[in-house]
Amino acid sequence: MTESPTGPTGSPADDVLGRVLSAEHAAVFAYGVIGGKTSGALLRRAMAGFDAHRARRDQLRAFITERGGTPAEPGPTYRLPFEVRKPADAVRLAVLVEQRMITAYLELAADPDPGLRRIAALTAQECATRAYGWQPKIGDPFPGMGRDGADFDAAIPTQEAESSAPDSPVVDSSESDVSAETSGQEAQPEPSAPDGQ
Amino acid sequence: MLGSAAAAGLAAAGCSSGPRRPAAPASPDPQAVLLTSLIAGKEQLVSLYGRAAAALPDRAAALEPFRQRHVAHLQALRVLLPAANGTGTFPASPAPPSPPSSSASPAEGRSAVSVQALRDAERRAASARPAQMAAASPALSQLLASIGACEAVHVVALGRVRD
Repeated sequence: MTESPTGPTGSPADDVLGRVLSAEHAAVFAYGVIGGKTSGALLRRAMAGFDAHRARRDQLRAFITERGGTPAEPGPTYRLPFEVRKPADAVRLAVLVEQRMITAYLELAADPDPGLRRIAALTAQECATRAYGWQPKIGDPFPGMGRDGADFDAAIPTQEAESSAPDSPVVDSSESDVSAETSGQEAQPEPSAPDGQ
Repeated sequence: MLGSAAAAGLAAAGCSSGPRRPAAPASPDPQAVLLTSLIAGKEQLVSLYGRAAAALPDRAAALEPFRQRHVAHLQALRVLLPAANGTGTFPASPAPPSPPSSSASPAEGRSAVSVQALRDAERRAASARPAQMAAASPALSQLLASIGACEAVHVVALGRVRD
């Protein structure tokens, strides 16, 4: 709000918001796939992630509309970085989605608008915490700053088995300190969710 | 200060092609003030981990990666600090182990640090990041968002270190 709005589509903030919205559209889609390949505790985790990303997506839509922009609609389908067949694939996809979202929100964290910065900071923390919930492993001290993204890119062409246990890396005891969105009820994928590729 | 800032703005607007650029102002740069405070906070966290490792030898190995990530944060913050206040060798030198500072209160400095105390400190640090970002430069704001995300994960991950 410190920068005067320059127009429906012209301001850099709107561009960044649009990019984050597109990323959230993809995240919601991916979580639909993740929910379709999981059950039990993993499915509950997937539903929570689905709801959280959908809530952020709607918030971003509102921001863009308030600024006079036109929020982009989701694509009909999204190409996933690898085929999701087993729960372990779903877990890996969820981690990648969260890492990507952290990167997207870090871009928003540089926006001149302090309100958007705040949203970006809180959401990046939520995404990082969710990623840890899926896969309790911390590597990079700087989530979203690029090294995780490099991992993501490296993960796209190959589907090498990771050394982590393939069954259930979920931490049941992990507190959800920051994620508190509850906006939706069902965790059905909105579009039909082919596995892509 | 307002006057000089306005004058600098006018000068920048008026003769942007001029060769004379205003040098870094001698008055305290708000970014440097913010960074100094952020660095002090990180140093305290690093020192807290050192004390926890000393108090909990059987957890020291588990806590060390956490401490190292904070050291990485510390170095990244130091890189952003203008070289105005002393040597410019911050980034090159590895972070000193920073023993418990003598300025800490005796009770703070000597009491054993529990994993729960580390969690609380991490939680406070992560919660403070959004407000700190409001006045930060874009690059620092981004860095703080990432550091805060790491700290938020630490809060959860420390739950697995606790017995």
